[in-house]
Amino acid sequence: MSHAATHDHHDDHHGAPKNFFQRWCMSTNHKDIGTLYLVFALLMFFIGGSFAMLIRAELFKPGLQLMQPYFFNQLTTMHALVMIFGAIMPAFVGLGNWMIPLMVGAPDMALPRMNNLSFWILPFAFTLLLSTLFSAGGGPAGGWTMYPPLSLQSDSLAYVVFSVHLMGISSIMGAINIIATILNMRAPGMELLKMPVFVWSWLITAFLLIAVMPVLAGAVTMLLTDKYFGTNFFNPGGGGDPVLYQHIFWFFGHPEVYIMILPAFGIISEIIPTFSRKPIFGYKAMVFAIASIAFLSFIVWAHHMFAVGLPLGAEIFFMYATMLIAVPTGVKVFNWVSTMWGGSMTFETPMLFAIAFVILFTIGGFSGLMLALVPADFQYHDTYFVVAHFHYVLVTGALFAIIAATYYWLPKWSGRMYSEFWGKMHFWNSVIWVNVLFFPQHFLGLAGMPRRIPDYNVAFANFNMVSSIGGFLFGASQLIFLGVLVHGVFFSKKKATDRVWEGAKGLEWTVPSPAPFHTFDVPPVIHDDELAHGHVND
Amino acid sequence: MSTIDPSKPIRMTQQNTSSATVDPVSDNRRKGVRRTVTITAAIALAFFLVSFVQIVLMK
Amino acid sequence: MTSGVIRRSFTAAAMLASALFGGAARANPTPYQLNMERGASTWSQVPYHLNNISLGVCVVIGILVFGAMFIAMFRFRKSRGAVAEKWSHNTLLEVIWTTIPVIILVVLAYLATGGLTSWADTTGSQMTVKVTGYQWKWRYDYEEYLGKPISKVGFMSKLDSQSDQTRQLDSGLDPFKVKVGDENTYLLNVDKPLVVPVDTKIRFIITGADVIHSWWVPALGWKLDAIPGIVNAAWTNIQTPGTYRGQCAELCGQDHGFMPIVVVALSKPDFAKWLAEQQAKSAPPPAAPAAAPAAASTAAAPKTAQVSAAPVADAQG
Ligand code: HEM
Ligand SMILES: [Cu+2]
Ligand SMILES: [Cu+2]
Repeated sequence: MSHAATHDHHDDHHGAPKNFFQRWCMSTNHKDIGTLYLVFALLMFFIGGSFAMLIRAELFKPGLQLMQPYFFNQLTTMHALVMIFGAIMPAFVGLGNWMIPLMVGAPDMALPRMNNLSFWILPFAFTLLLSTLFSAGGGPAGGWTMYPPLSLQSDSLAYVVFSVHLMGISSIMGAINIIATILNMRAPGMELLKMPVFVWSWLITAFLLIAVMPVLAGAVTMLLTDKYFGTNFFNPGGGGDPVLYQHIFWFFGHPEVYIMILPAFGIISEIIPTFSRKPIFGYKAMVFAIASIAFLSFIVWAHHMFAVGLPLGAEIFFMYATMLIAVPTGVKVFNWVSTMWGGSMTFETPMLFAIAFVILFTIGGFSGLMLALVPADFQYHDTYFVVAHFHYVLVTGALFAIIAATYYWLPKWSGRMYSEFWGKMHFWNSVIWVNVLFFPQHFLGLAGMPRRIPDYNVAFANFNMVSSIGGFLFGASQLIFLGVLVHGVFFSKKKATDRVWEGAKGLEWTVPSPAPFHTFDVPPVIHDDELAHGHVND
Repeated sequence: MSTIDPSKPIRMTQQNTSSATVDPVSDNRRKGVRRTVTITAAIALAFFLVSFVQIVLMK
Repeated sequence: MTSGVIRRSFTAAAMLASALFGGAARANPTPYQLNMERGASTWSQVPYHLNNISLGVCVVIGILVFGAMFIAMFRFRKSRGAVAEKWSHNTLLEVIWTTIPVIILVVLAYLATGGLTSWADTTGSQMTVKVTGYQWKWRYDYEEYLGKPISKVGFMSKLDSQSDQTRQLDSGLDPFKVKVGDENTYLLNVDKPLVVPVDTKIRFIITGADVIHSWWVPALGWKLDAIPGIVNAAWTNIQTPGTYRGQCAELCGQDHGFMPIVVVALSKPDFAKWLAEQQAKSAPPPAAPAAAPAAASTAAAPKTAQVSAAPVADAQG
């Protein structure tokens, strides 16, 4: 490859702009925007996390000690909104921004200016959302699901709706950008079925996003007009129906939970082969499983509504469809285990988080299967059992995958190796305390503790205290993460090699570490054996 | 088979909002991107509208 | 027929389950409780057994999958000199691990469908109670008992005052001291419980007055949302007399955590007595209407005359 010569004459603009404002606020560079997304997600993770600490502190023992119930409700609502829309989703978009162009050999995202806009909407959206906490009537307190009529009682509804609109616009633009990049910007020879599973997972996720974020926007718009403009979409007094809101919300909501897990599947499908030094088992089956999960996610929404009194036929249909999702999900888990089988494994921090993901996400999948059985869900629904379920899939699932990805690609981003010792400290602390935090919540739910309550009968005291202790220590463990990141980005003396990991394959590892400001300005020549899946036929 | 030769520092174009430079994206890509954006944006808009239509129909 | 098969398979699994979980039937939550309770109604064992069966299935699959993973992690370590193999698929295996889950799911779906169908059948009820959720209390109206309409027996049911005082921020009161007899009833007690008879198929019609609530007594085996503008129906048939406690299960505003539900199940004669008393109380003082003696028990009749002058306010929570 003799491309280097062709670039020598662009002497005037290569590296990043020196001016801080120019570099970060005006950026159109996918790497810088990716970094912005990731830093933003980390900030939101700590803000949402501090809400969670307050929640667990109030629930530490029976009786109200710290706050009024209404403030507690604001905390649970804000915790969920911030974590879902502020931490998990932007983190995946950040990873996609950084890695997708590098993985498919594109010079940048297809629409770099729109990329800038997608990101910079978010700080405004979240400033607006968080500011409601300081307003006279307080922040939203009707739960992240914003069910009417309750959500219509809140004074901050208009602010919340507007910030949800902003987040939605940001996600839709981000998704369009990702689709356009993957479909049009691949280097010659990077056929669709040679793409890394992470890229595939993002392609499919992006389609979910453009289909369901507008539906959420529609639902909250109707809330807004019901409250302020005299419409009666959901107002039974005027001929509306509150249950319709739930149908629309969950038509968004269930694909949304898959939006938060499919990119995680992609990440784990990158990391496990690397540290097993063996190609992913059943590449095509993995891609097909993601696609079928995405498809099924559109026809299972009412499993969140089993207790609203649906007709028998609907309950049965949604139960069967939901149970069906367990099949492709199972295929994924089995394939990850088979990838490890017969490999030559090492256990660096990203691999540890990936293994914890496979086990703990599967536990979340198990409780999901139990929740799908309607008669059992009549008992589980809206209890701590559900809280345990979605925290297993979201914290030890989505979040662990994001953390694994961060350790995995950080050396490529910063050019320095993070501290393996402190990475492992972070891992062991996280994995132990997260289970102390969430496992007892299964018991609480089974014993009959409803979710979203600030106080409880003394029968629930023991496990709540255990859970709170786990929560505080899990929270504290994330400060280790912060330390490892700061050290690994700015201070570590250990330089990363280009390949970083012995078993790593794929285009992203062919560029120097740290990845230069511009890469693949001239499309790379693809060699199938360099790709993680280039030569496999299955 | 690195596409980048680490011994030679890479010089590449910088785009930013204030100074657009040579666009490396070929014409074909440009058209493809435009088509993709049109289609995906149309899907998004359709789903937005459908959420209202659904309400009206189910009433 | 089918339901018999379902019941038998439930029973078989129940034996295994009760060995595992020591399933003595308790109704209300207890400290360190690990699993769901069997409940006290004819139907409540359906979710209980489904819970245990599906949990068992998950545990077995979990042991197999995680076991294979741990074996892999020990056998195929680079530090033990493992050399990576090259294969990356195996059609036979893939077919097997797609089919076996499907079979398991079909079995679970079959069991769940049977249970769900019996839940949805509210026909043939011998009593009807209307439940209305308010921010933040419940209202119960007795509509019909043994084929006879009941009017004017209805009352509000809200958090008992001891819990209510204790739960205030900085009340300085100890939740552990809120007791009825030996049982701690903090946040699980009301001023006026719902009283129902045992061995009676009771139909509940459930609705909401302001926002959505959800009426849930774990011992009955289900919860159902109380939605303004919508009337939902469900049924129960309680087998053992007792006091069964539950809570609102749908976020309904600031005091969502403080609107418990208490169902007191009485033997049929006791219930008839209770109902007659209530009817008498709510009857307008001058002329005792003909509706009162309609209640099944004749024993209640003399009492009617005595209490008819009792303050009506008593019926209001
Ligand atoms: C095997 C796959 C899964 C099945 C069968 C399943 C099933 C269910 C069911 C039936 C519920 C409703 C429970 C209730 O409210 O009564 C539920 C709730 C939930 N699930 Fe899953 N689930 C699965 C995987 C996932 C994944 C992968 C995620 C996200 C990454 C997820 C996130 C959630 C969330 C956030 C909720 C609660 C939403 C709320 O009410 O606030 N689930 N799941
Ligand atoms: Cu769902
Ligand atoms: Cu309520």
